[in-house]
Amino acid sequence: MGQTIIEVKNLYFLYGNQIILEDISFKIEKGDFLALIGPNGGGKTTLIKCILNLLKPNKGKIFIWGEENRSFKNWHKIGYVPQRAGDLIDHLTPLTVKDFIFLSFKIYKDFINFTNYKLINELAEKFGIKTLLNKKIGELSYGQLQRAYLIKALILNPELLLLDEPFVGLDFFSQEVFYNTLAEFHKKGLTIILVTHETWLLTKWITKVACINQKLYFHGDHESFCVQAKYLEIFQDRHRIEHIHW
Amino acid sequence: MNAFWDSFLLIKWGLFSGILLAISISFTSPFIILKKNALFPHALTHIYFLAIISVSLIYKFIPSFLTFPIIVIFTLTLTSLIWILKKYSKLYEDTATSIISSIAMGLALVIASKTSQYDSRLFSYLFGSLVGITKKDFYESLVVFIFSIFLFNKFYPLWIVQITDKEVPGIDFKGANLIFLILITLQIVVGVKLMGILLISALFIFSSSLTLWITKSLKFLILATSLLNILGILIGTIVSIIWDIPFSGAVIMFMSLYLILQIIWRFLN
Repeated sequence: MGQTIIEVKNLYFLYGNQIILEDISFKIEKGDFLALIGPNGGGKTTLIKCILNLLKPNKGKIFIWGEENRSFKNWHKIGYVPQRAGDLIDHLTPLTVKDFIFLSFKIYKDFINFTNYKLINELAEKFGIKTLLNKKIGELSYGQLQRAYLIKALILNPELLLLDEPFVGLDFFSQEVFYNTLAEFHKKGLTIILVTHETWLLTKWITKVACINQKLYFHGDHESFCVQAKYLEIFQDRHRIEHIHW
Repeated sequence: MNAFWDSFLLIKWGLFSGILLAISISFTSPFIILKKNALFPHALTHIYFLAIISVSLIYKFIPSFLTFPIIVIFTLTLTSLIWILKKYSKLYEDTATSIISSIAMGLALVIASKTSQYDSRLFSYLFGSLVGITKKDFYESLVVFIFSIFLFNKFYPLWIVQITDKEVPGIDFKGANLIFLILITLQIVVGVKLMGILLISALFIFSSSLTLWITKSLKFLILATSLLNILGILIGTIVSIIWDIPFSGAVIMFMSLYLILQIIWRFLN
């Protein structure tokens, strides 16, 4: 067993009276490439935000590297790309792509006292936007923006990366490139949690699956998930996932 | 020439104060536009007006050195009503801003009319005065100018990252946003004497609206906005002296040319 990076214990989250997350408990270990899957409205994004202390759960605790997330300080060790991140950028945003990526250093300047100029070029080259680094961020296409967000999340050399449907709207080949690159980082030791609907990807890159729809229905390695779930069928029928007992 | 020089001596503190204000505002104004909240400085001036009128009622009962902080605290407290209204009535922020600013202005005018303040002082609050700026006002502008540079350098990453990321793990934006609000309030407090309550917000909007289109980096954006604001103040001063027209009106008329430039820029690109 690897080192536990995240431990979620008996987590409940409610919006008003509506239960979004109910008694969720699981662990993420070092080196996991976990796909967090489930139907729309199933609570995946809420769970990610609870882990990152962006939402306060009604009950339960979350530990990051053994420390409760409410008192956790080393957030620079976690890269995060939120859902539809690129929607926030418009043509007036007064930042070059390089400045945008370097924002990570400025935000966490209390922890990081250097700026890694070499890594930005390496990552930009890997993700195919090196020639765009001096361009205005608002002039990038949606796909290029998503790459910029991913580089921004990786520029601090995080130990854990959380991606909330990062590649929605991208064509098949772009997604293939992204996931191959993520797999490279994973091989080098990066732990990744990926919220996704792209179930076709599961067998190729990820090592573990967590299936969530208010409750945690499955958490384990992807082979056993494939055997048990016939996951493609499940995703075509939201009703069914609510009634399957693993 | 002598007449022009005499005029200059009369308005020198106003001019120097205006230049400092022009630079100070360039550190905050782009963020207001990027947050799609251009109405906010306008609302703040209305609330500030209510604060001035209200504090004038108790002016005789408080030491003079407390007037300024009381007005600032009064303004900030009333401004928080915008977010309270937004939170509890579930209105959009610009709707809540518009409602609170209208109530503030309406209430201020009622209090002014019922307390015999409906006179030339009211007129100078509303439209400002270049001649009325004293050496003391200049020093206040200098303090706000120094604050603006210092606070921008310390907090701009947290201001700009809110444009590109809604939430950042481990980062609480409340403190940075409060500092931003205090800074805008201070800029408005020193700017109102010069530009007037009704027109100071133009300094926050016109230059940034153009420079956001033509610049791609934050540093150049601040520099370009400063230069355009200073140009507006200088040309406004000269035009107001030569044609004997109100200073704030002359500044706005000149700065409205920036809008035409912005349209031409967009057309050419």
